Amino acid sequence: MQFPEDPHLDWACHFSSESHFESMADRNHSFVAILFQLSQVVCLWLIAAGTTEVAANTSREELDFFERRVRPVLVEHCFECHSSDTPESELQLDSLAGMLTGGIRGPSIVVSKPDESLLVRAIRHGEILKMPPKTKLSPTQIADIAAWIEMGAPWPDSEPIPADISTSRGAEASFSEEQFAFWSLQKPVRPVTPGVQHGPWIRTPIDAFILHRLEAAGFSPAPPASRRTLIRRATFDLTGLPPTPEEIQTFLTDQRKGAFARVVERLLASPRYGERWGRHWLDVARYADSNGLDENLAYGNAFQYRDYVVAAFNNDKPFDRFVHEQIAGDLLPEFANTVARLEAMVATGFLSLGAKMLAEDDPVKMQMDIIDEQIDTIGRAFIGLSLGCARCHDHKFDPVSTADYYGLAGIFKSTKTMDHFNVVARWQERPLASPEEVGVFESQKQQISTNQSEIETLQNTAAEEVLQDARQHVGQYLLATCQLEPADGLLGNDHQPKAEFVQAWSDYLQRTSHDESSPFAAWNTVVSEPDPSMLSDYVKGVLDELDFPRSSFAATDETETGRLLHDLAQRYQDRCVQIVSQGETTKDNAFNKALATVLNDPDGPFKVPETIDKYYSEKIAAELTALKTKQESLEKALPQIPHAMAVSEGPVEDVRIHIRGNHLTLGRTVARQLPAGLQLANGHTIDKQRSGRLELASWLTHSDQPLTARVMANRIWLWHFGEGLVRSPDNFGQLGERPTHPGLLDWLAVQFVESGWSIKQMHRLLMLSSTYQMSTAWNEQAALSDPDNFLYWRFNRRRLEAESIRDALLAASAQLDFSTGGSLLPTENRAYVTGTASVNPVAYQSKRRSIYLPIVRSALYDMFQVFDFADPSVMHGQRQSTTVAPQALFMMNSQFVSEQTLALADRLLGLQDLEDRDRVAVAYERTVGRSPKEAEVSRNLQFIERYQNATTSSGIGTAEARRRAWQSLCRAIVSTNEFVYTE
Amino acid sequence: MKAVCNRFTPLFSRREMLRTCSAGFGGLALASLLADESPANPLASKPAHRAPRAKQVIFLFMHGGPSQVDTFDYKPRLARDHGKPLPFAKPRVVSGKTGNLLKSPFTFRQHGQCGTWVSELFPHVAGCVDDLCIINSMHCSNSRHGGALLELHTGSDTFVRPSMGSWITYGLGSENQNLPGFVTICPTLTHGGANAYGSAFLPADYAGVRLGNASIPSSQAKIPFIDNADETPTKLQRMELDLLRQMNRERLSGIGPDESLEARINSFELAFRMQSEAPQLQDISGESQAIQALYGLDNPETENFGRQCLMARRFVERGVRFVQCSHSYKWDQHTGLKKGHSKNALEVDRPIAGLLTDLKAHGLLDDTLVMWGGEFGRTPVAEQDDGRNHNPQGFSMWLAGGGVKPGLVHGATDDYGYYATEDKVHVHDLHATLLHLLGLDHLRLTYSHGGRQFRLTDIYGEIVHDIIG
Repeated sequence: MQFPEDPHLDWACHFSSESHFESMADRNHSFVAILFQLSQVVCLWLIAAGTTEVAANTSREELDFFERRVRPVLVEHCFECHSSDTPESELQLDSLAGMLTGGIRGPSIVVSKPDESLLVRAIRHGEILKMPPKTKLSPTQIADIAAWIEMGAPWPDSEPIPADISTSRGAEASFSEEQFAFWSLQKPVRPVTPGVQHGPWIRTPIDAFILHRLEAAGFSPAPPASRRTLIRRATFDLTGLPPTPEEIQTFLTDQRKGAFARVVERLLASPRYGERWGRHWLDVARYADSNGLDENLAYGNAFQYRDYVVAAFNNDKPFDRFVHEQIAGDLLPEFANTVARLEAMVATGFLSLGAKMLAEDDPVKMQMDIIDEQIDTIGRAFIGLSLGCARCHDHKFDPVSTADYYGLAGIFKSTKTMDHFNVVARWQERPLASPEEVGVFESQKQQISTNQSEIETLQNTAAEEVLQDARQHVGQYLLATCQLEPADGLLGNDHQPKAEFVQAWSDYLQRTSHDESSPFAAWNTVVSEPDPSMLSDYVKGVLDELDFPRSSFAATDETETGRLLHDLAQRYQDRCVQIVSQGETTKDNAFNKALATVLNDPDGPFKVPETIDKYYSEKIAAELTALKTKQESLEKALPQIPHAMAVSEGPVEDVRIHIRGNHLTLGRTVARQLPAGLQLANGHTIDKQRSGRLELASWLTHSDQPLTARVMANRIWLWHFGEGLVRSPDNFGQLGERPTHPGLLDWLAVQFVESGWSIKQMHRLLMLSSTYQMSTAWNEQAALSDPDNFLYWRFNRRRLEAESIRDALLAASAQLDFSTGGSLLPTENRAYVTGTASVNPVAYQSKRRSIYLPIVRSALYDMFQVFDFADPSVMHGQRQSTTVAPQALFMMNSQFVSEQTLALADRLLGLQDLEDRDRVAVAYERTVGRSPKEAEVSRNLQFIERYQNATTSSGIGTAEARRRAWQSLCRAIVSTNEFVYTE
Repeated sequence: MKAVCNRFTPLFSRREMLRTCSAGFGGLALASLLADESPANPLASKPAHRAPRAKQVIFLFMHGGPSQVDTFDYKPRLARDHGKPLPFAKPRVVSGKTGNLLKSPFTFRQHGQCGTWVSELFPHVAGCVDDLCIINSMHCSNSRHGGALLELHTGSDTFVRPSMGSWITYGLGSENQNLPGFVTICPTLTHGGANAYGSAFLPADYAGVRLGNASIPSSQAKIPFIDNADETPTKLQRMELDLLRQMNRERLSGIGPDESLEARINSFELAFRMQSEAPQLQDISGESQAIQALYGLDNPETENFGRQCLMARRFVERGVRFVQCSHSYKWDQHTGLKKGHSKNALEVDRPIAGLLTDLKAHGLLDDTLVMWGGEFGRTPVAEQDDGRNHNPQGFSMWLAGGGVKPGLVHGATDDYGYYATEDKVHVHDLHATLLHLLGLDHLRLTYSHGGRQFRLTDIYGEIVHDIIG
C-alpha cells in the first residue's frame, strides 16, 4: 500500500503542539489528560521503534499510516466518549484491546475485515449506529480507518490480546437476593385472619383484614349503605346497568334473611353479567375491532374473541383454564366436543389482537415488534410484570434478564400469528369448523382451484394459438402501422390484422424509434426515409442479414417507398416465420435472438390484449363457457366458514439475544424457556418439538406461581372497589405499588385458587362482606388522615364508565336492545376502517349494549373517547376517571342524549293515567333509582311550566313545547352527578 | 360565577382576564372559581423548568413527505448528475424501488439578507426566509407514513405513546381555561389517526381536541359536541343548566364534600362558556379584508389552509399551548412530482407566509414557535419517471420565532440530498429542542407508566443548541 509522503512528519510535536492542545482543552479536562498520555506513548514508541523491531507482521509504513491517518481521527472524534475512564457503552477505542473487546454491542473491529467491523459500519453511518453521532467523518477518514483494519489493525505496543475476546462480554445477568426476595415473588400462603374488637361487623374474613387496620388507625367503618344505594351499586357493578324499579321494589320488600345474597345471585345469573365483566377483561386484552396504528384495517373477526370472553364470564370458566385457552387454546389436549375445541382456539385471539405496524419495510423488525407486544401484554396482564423492559437490557428492578426475554421471544417466534410480514402485513385467521368440515371445504376449494387452472390453461393455449398466428404475419403488422394494405399475393394476406396488435406494434415502434440496437431499427430507418449514406453500421448489418439490397434504398416517390416497405416487411415476416414455425435456431444468430425476444415479450408488440377471447376459435370458446359455468356453481356451493383471529404452531425456532433490542446486532442464541429468575420449584421445561406456549400457560397457572392469582384477585377487587389492594394493577414489580393489605391480598389469592379459580365465587365473597356494603358517608377525621381511602373507611363513590352511562341512558328511555354477540362493524374484514381522508364509517346509531359497538383504534367513538374509555391499543387494568368539559358538552348538546331524553319524555307523557307529579316520580325511579322528595317534585313542575311557557312564546305549539320541557327535565336529571355516579 | 368575561375587552388584556376568571377546560377540581390556580386542575398553567423562549407552538404539518431537494435543500450536483446512478449505496430498508438521480424540476434562488436558497415552490415563504431557521439535516427511523408520522408526533414508530402536544400541555398546562390547551385542526384520519394527538397513558386531559378532520373543509371544523343537536335557544339551555346546578348542589350538600362532584358541577358552567367562546374564536368575519387576504382567504386554492393558519393565530393569542394545522396527506408524490408539489405548495405558501407576517405584526412571533415539515422527505433518486420515494434518511424542516436563530440554515445532507451528514438532527433531537425552547427539560418531563418513567424522547434526544438564538 502506498502512502503520500508527509514532509512535516513529527508526531511528538504534532501531539503536543500548543495550538492543538488549546483547542481541545476547553472541551474536556479528562480528554486533555488522555491526549497528554497519548503523546507520551507515541514519543516512547518513536524511541522504541528506532531500536527494536516492531511487531513481527507490522511494517513501519503500516504503523506510520496508523499514526498519521488513523490515530488523529480517533483522538479528535472518538476519545471524548470512548476512552479509558468511563467509556460510553463500555467501549474503549484508545487501545487495540479495547477495540477488539468492544462495548456492549460486541467487538468493534474484526481484524482484516473492515466490512464486518462494527466500527466501520458506525462511521459509515450505517443503520444500527451512526458515529460520531452528529457529523459524519469525511470519506477519506472513513476509507483510512477501513484500510487500517484491512491491513490487520496495526497498533504500536499494543497489549497482548485476550484469547477468548469475543466471549468476554455478555456474562449472565445477576440479580440480588433482595430482588428474588421481593414480596410479590413469594408464593402466597393463607394468613391467619386478624383479630378485631368489633366482632359483629365481620361477615366474611375480608372484613377482619379491613377492620383490623381501621381499628389500629382509630377509625370506624362507615355505616352500611341503604338498600336503594346497595342495589344500584351492585347492579351497575355486576351488569353495568341500573336496577329496574321492579327490581328495587323486590329488594326493598324482601324481609327474609339473605335478601342481598339473592340480588347478587340473580345478577350473577344474568347474561348481562358477562357483558359487564367481560368488558373489564377486554380492557386488559386491549380488545379492538381494528388494527389502529399505521394501517387501520378492520379486525372483522375480532368479535369472535369478544363473544368468547363474554361467554367465559357468564359460564364462570375457571380462570386458570381461561389463561390456558388464551395462550395455548389451540394446543390443549382434551375437549368435550368440537365446539369446545374451536372455542379454545378463538381464545388465542388474545395473542393476535394487538396493534401492529403493518407497513414496516423491515419484516424482521416487524415480527420482533409483534412478538414484543405479545410478551409485554402477557407479562402485564397475567403476572403484573413489565417483561417488555428486558427486550433491550436486563430488567433494572425485577429479576428478568434479557436472556429470559429472548427465551420467551422464541416461544412466540415459533408461533404463527401472521400469514406474512410484507407491507401491508396480514394476520392469520383460522376456520371455525371441525376438521371434517374443513376437509370438505378444502377439497371444494381444491376443485375450484383445479377448475380455475383448467380455465387458465385453456385460455393460455387459446391465446398462444392466436399469438402464434399473428407472429407469423409480422410483415402485415409492420405495414398496418403505416396504414398500408399488403398488395395482393404478398405476405400471405389470409391473415386479418388484429386492431389490438396493430396498436401495440405502433406503440412498440414508436417506443424504440430512437433505439439503434432494436431489431426493427432498420424498419424505422426505412420508414423515416433517411439518406442511405447515413445508415448506422447496425442498420446496415440488419439489412444485410435480411438480404435487403441497400443499393435500392433511396426512394424517389411514394409508390417506390411503398414497394420498398412491402419488400422489407416481407423479409422481416419470412424471418419471423422461420423463427416461429420452423423452429429456426436462435442460439447463434444475435439478430434472430433479438427478434424472438421481441416476438415473445409479454409487454411487446404481441402483448396479450384484454380482449383476446373474441379471437378464440368457436370450439375453445364453447369449452371455456362450460368451465366458467362450472366455476360459478362450485363457488356458489362453497360454504361460508366463519373465521377467527387465532394463532397456531409455527416452525420451532430459538432466538438470539438482540443487543439493545436491535435485530441487527445479535448475541448468543437462547433456548426457548420460561424466565429463569421466576422459575418455580418443579421447573417447567419446553418440549423441543413445540413452541412452548402450552408450557408457558401451565407455568402461569401453576399452583406455585406467586403472581397470577394475586394479580387477578387484585383486579377483581379493583373492579368492585374502584382501587386495587395493589394500586398499580398491571405492575407487581419493584416499581409498582405495595399492597395496602398484603395479608388480605394473599388470603384472596389462596382462596381464589382453592375455589377452583372461580371468579363468581370471588364476587360472592367480596360483595357479601361488610366492607362492600358500607356507605360512602363522609368522615372528616378519616378523610384528613387518609384522603385516598387506603384503609377503606368508606366505600368509594365511583363515576360510571362510558359504556354504563350510555347503556343506562338507553335503559332509562327503554330503548336498549338486549341482543347479544356478533359484529356491528360495517367495514369488510381487512378493509380500511379509516382511510386517507375518509371519515370513520362506523355508525354508532345502534341501540345495543355498548360492549357490542365497534372499537375502532385511533378513531374511537367520540362518546367513549370523552368518557375515558381506555385507549384500546394498549392493555389497561384500570380506567381513568377524568372530569372534562367535553363530557358536559356531550350531555348538553349531543344527538344521542337528545334522542334518549326525548324518548324518555315521550314515555312519561304516554303514561295516560298519571298526573305530572307522578311522572316526575317515574322519571326519578327509572334514572336515579329513588322517589323524588316533595320539594324536588314541586321545583321540577315549576321548571316544566316555565320552560314550556318560554318555548311557546317563541311560536312553538303547546304539545311540542310540553314535550321539550319534559325532555329538558329528563336531560337535567340524567346530567346530575347522582345519575352518573354510584354511591 | 363571579365574573362574566367582558367580550369587548381588547385581546391582550382579555387574555389575562380569561386566565383569572375561568375554571379549567380539562380536569376540574374544587369549588374555587380560580381553578386554574389550583394544583388539582391538570390544565392549570404550570411553571416551566427554566425560563422559556417560547410559550406556545404552531405546527404546520405537511402530511405525505415534502421533498427537501425541491424545497429548502438546494443541490446543484443533483442537477449536474441527473440521470446517473446514485454514487453510493441506498439504505438497507427502503419502501419502494427507485432508479437514478432525478434533478429538481424547480428553480432555486437566494433570498433575503441571509441569502438562503429556496425553490420557486415557496415564493411567499421565501420572502420570510430571514425569520426561518431551516434544518436540512433532519432524519427519522421509519420509511413508511404511519411509522414516520407517529414518530414525528409521539417519538415512537412502534408503540402508542403520548403525542408531543400532550407532553407539552402536561408539562406547562394551558394559559386559557376556557379553551383546550392542545388543538388540532382538520387532523389526518389515517397513518395513526388520533394517536398523533392522543395522550396515550397521560391523563385524558392532555389529549388534543380535534376540530373537524381531514375529510371536511376547515370552515366546518368544530370541537365535538360544541353545537347543540336540537338548536335549543341559549336562554332555554341556561334554564336547564340552572336547574341542573340546583339539583347537584342540593345533593352535594347532603352527601358531604367531594372534589370530583364539585368539579363536575363546574364543568357544566365551563362547557357553557366554552360553547360561546369557541364559535366566536372560529368566526373570522371580524378580521379585516387585508388580514383575510394576507392568509389567502380570498382565493379558493389557499382558502382552506389559510383559514387553518388564521385560526391558529387566534388560538395562540388566546393562550392555547399547542396548535396543529394539517395539510393532509397531499405531499406523497411517488409520481407527478412537478404537478403535485406545485399544487401543494401553492395551497400552503401564501397562508404560511401570511401567518408568519401576522404573528410578527402582533408581536406574537417572539414567543410562538412555528414549526413546518412532513413525516419524512423524499429520495433524490427517481421513482418511475417523475416521482420520488419516501426518505427518512435526510430531509428538511424549519422553525421560526420562539427563540430560534432566524436566517439560519442548520445541518446538511450529502451532495445529492439523500442522507443527512452534517449536524444531524433526529426527530428525537427536534423534540428535545422543542421542549427546551418551551422551558422544559426533556430528561425531566417524565410520566410513570407500567413500571417505567416515560419521556417524549424515550432514551434519546439531544438539544440542538446551535439553532437557539
